[in-house]
Amino acid sequence: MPSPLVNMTGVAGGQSDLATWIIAISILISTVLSILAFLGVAQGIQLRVWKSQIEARLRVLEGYVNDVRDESKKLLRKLGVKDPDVVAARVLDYFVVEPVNIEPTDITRRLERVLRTEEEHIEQIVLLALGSRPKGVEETALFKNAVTLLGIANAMNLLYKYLRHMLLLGIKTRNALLVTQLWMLLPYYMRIAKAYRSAARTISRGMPIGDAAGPLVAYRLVRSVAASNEVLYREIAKDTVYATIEYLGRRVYVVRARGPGSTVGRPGEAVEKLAEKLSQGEIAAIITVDAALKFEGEQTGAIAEGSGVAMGDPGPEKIKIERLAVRRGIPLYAIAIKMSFEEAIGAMNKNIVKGVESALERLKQLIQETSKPGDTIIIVGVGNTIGVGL
Amino acid sequence: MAFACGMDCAYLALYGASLVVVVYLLQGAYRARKRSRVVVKLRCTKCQRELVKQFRDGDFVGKIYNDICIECGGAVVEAIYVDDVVPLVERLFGKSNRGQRKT
Repeated sequence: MPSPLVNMTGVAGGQSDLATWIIAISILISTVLSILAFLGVAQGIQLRVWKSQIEARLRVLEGYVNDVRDESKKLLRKLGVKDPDVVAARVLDYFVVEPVNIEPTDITRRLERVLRTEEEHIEQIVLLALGSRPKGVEETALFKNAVTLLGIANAMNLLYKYLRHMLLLGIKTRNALLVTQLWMLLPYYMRIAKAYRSAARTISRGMPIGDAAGPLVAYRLVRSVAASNEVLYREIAKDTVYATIEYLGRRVYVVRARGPGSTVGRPGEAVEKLAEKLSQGEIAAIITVDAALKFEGEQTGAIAEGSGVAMGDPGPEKIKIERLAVRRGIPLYAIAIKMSFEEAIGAMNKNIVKGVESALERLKQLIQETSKPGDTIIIVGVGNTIGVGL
Repeated sequence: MAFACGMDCAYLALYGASLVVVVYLLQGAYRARKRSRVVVKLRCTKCQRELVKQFRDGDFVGKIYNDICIECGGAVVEAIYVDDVVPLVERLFGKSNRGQRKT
């Protein structure tokens, strides 16, 4: 009879061979992987994963660009442009060259010339496609909204092309740092693009955006003093108007862009021209009211007071008011209505409207504190007047 | 289906648990969904009464609407803004924080 021990030894020997093979292969694999990790293969795999994620986000961004382009074409068609594709194609790749900054002498005037050429040229492109100037308040508003929408489409197209360029450059030059940086910054850029896309829908419907808070305060101030049919608005600069009202014995000039079309006007030029009509020492104060970006954690619609010119322009308009104030010794006061970037370019919400009401009360208080009866004050409602009429 | 203890009860428990999870996720998604409407606030030029209506293309702040105030007739648009619509489920069961991103 065979010994049971012989059988057990045979089975045990087979199992130990298998275990040995498994252990040997595991050690070999981990050694090879460790060597490959030192050679940068792990980084290559990581980059491939990031590249596919970036490409997926860029496809979404491309969709946003197409959406905004389609919205602008729809608005152009509504305006009466027969071939909106040609207009959109021409404006989408429009570029502006910055003025030379190594020589800063008169840089603001050069920048002003370049920016005004851009604004006037894009309007001219749309007018040529339209065939005639728009007539009436609603048609003019539609025209201004279409021009703004084309501007948004241009900005989004540039953003998309820039991000795609960074990705392709990083892959072509095998620059891992570039791809990594792009992957890390992409959520921020996508947030901006999403905000622009939602803004395009708001602008195509002619609804007020958060940035209209400044002009809305100016409108409410004028309406609180006089009925709309009693106030005469005069045009003082392109797309910019002013009204003269009496408030607690003070003469108040309220300057704002002409609405309800989408425009920011030329408030700096307007204030300069107004001051030419007034004598030295006559202006007691210049108060600007504008929407301001809030910090994360701040409440939308919160009001802050400060000094200086509250204006988010690149320089030409703001510097005119500052230079006037320096020449004539006029104090500059500012009231800011806080909101996020998305809220500033998106549809106005209830919190911003409450902020406008608070800003109006603060403005009235500031007028009383900074002047006495008989003085003249200039108030500028800075912002885009889309959806805010006179 | 047999209701004796064993595999059938296990399957029943699994189906029941899956159904509970699906219903929980759906109601959370429904409550987190943001709905909003565009509100036009008007003020009567005579009696100063506040009126509210839905936004229509062509509305703007300062636009005068004749025959909109029941008593006096004319009213002027004072503000146009987006207002969140509170869903019925949220009104009954309270606010859900799922999917909410504060800007």
